[in-house]
Amino acid sequence: MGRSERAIWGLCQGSGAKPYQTRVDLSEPAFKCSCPSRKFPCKHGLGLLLLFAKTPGAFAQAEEPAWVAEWLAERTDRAEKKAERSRAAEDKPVDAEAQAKRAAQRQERVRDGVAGCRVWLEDLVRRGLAACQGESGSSWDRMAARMVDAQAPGLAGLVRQVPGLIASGEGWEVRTLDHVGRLHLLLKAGERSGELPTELASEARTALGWTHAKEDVLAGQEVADRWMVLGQVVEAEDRLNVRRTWLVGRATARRALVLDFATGLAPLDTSVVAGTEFDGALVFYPARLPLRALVKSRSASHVLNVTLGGAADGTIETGLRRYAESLAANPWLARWPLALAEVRLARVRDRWFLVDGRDAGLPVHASFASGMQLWRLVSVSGGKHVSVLAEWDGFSAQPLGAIHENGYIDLAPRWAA
Amino acid sequence: MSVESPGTRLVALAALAVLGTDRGGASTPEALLTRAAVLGAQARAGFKPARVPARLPACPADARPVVGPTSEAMLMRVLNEPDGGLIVEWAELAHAKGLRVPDSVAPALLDWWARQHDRPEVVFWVLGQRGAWLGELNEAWRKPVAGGGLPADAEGSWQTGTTPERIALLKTVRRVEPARGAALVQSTWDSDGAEERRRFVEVIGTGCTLADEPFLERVLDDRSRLVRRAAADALGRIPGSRYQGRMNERARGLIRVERTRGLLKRGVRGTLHPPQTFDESWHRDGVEERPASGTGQKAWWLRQILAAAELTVWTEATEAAPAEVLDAIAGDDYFETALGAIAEAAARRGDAAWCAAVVRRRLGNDHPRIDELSALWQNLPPDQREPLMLEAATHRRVSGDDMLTTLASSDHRWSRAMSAGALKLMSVWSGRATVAWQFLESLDRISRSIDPAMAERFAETVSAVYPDGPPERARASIDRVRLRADMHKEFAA
Repeated sequence: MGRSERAIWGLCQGSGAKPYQTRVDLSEPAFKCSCPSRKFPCKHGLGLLLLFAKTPGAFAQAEEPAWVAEWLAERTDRAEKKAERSRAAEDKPVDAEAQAKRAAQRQERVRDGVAGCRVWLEDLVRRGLAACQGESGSSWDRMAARMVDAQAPGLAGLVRQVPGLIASGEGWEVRTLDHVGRLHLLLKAGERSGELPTELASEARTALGWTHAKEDVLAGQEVADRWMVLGQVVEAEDRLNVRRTWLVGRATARRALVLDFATGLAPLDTSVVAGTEFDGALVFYPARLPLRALVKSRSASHVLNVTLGGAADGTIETGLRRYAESLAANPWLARWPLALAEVRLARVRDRWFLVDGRDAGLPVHASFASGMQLWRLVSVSGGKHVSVLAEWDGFSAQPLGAIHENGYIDLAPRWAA
Repeated sequence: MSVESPGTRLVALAALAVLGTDRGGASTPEALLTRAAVLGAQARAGFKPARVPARLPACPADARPVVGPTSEAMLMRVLNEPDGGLIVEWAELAHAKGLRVPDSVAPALLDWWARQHDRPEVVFWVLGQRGAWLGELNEAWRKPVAGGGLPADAEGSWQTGTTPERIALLKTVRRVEPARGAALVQSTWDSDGAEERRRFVEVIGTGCTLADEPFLERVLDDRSRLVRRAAADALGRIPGSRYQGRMNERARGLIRVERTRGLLKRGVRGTLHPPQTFDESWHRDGVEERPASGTGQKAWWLRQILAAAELTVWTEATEAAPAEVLDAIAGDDYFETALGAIAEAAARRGDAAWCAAVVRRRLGNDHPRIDELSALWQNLPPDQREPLMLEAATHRRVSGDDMLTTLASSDHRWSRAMSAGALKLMSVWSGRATVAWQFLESLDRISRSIDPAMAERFAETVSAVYPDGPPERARASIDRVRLRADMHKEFAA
């Protein structure tokens, strides 16, 4: 094993005849190993880095061997080329005319998509929800694919959720109707965006799937605070892993949602971890009541202080009021983070509730109540109070994390690998 | 005035939407969807929490400290092992240090515990107050309370239950009130089928006492041979029963063991005298008249009677040690038959001295039978068992595969000497790269028994078998021993 200014490296005896050449570029960190593992980074790279973290003294300062130096040189090369390309792109004059043309084109495609979706949705209600109960999910998938083609990924996502709601058991028809009602509202907003107040029209555009360029968002106003990372959950969405991270600022009491995406087996960014807090600046995506945000700058993470303080929802009523305000600003708001301080668990005829000091109770989502995570929450509570971060969809709460006297526990659903 | 919340109106609208506007009448699809959007938004925005005064009981405080994060991580690993084979060992280590399981892991461990047939006590101990408390909340995790748990109407259930239900009921009742259990069985005896009667007698036979003797004696007159057999087995477990006295008396008539008195040689002499004719009274006590093919009649009768007699019949006259007795009768024509009967009796009665003597004797033979030996040495304390196991494994007539199976057959925690001996034996496989199912199965079992201080030597020994790297299952065995070593180190710290 050895180290230089920029990298560490080592040879590891694996099951093959030749030892593996493992190297880690510390500046990122980046990994490279000659083992055949398809996992990335591989266990050798991780092991090396862990070893370095634990006993840096075991790595002698040395000249980089050829197999390390060459790789580093390649990386430097690539990085330079990339920087060059992006400089070149920046230098290119903006073709305003072509841009406007593309925007108009998309507008038209979305309008066609919206019209098609409306016809289809109305046909669905004409035939009755019962009629689609026995149908396979493929017709929904086809419609979702059409919406993707129409450059309205937001609509595609909403359509894709429908089969799951139809199959969601008792009360499915209410949930499904509520969902398609919202979808309908979005379609109408898309049709008549010209008549809407600008801000609401912009919410509708976001819900339909128009995105803001990351650079534009990052250029926005920074919100500095001590941010608590209270819950994290990964969901698979059409071959894409989407992770929602919920943050609450200690001083501003602002709620923020950070989304991360990764395709297939690629790992998600690991810099923000549930159960920690950091000093940093967030930038919010433009909205009437901004919620989605990007982390622009941050200090190192600290273990979450178990006192949430005034930023949390002191009562369930406070939490629901915050939700209602956000919903009024954006009728397409899918989930809202309730940061409930000091609630207890209660069971009434096999239904579980989160209950505050005033005996106000919110029903816990059925999928959570039927799993092991519910029992972990019950167990750490010991029948006493805990603080819970739960996603609220307007009807039931899905706990993602809890803070008890000894620390934080992650309650997000576990996905089978 | 009734207040209709947006929620209830949404539910009513959903009923229409299920049918569809074609059949639902008045509304157009457009109007229905718009209304759904409005009602849905109103319902979400105006959600009223329920009033829930109910509360869970508070969990009593547990004075014991929680295990450290490293031990917790190890517990997560052993919980993720497919068969949870190391959980009990983890729990024993934690319990020995007076530690308990973290609350966030308690449900998963409790869930595992509740799914085990034997529900090991030590796991429940390390779960502490939290485990008992969670058990109160989740019926599936409740610890069966010793002494309690009798159904309100045992007699009624006994009359109407299915056979498995009645057997479960009988087991419970026997544990709490043995006499009442026996009364239950007798209350329906005449109308129950032979198979049911046999199974009831078997239940009574585990943990029966002299109080059960009168009933079991009557069962010896049952019309079914298998029921009589079960009763005889049960009576054989009651020390001082009349049945036992009869079998002992019969055995005494078939053997002669006595001290020899001589000037130079003081020893024990023994002879075997198989019965010449079948005594009709034997039928009642479960002795079968017709032998299985391949066995002589007289040997068959001899075997059954000696196997049913108490082992004291061999030593009462001379007070000789078991090994002396075996030596004394070794020259007899019927020695093999007698030895088989003694092995059966010693294993069934768990008599350590006789088990050890029989194993020794068998190891002196040409073809020791491993299955018979392991039934015997299960009854020996580890320090006596281990040398015999090693000796058996190195017996010149035991094949390589059998040798490893022999070692793997005892699942107690091996001593260092036993572990070292086993590793030495395993080195025979060096370079053979076997992927035989038995070999890998044995490795798996050995990895649970071997002294974890030997983890690295175990890894070396197994790796030496596979010059091109061990297969998945062998690697898993190596990892398991290493995990055990880490566990022991962690809790020793």
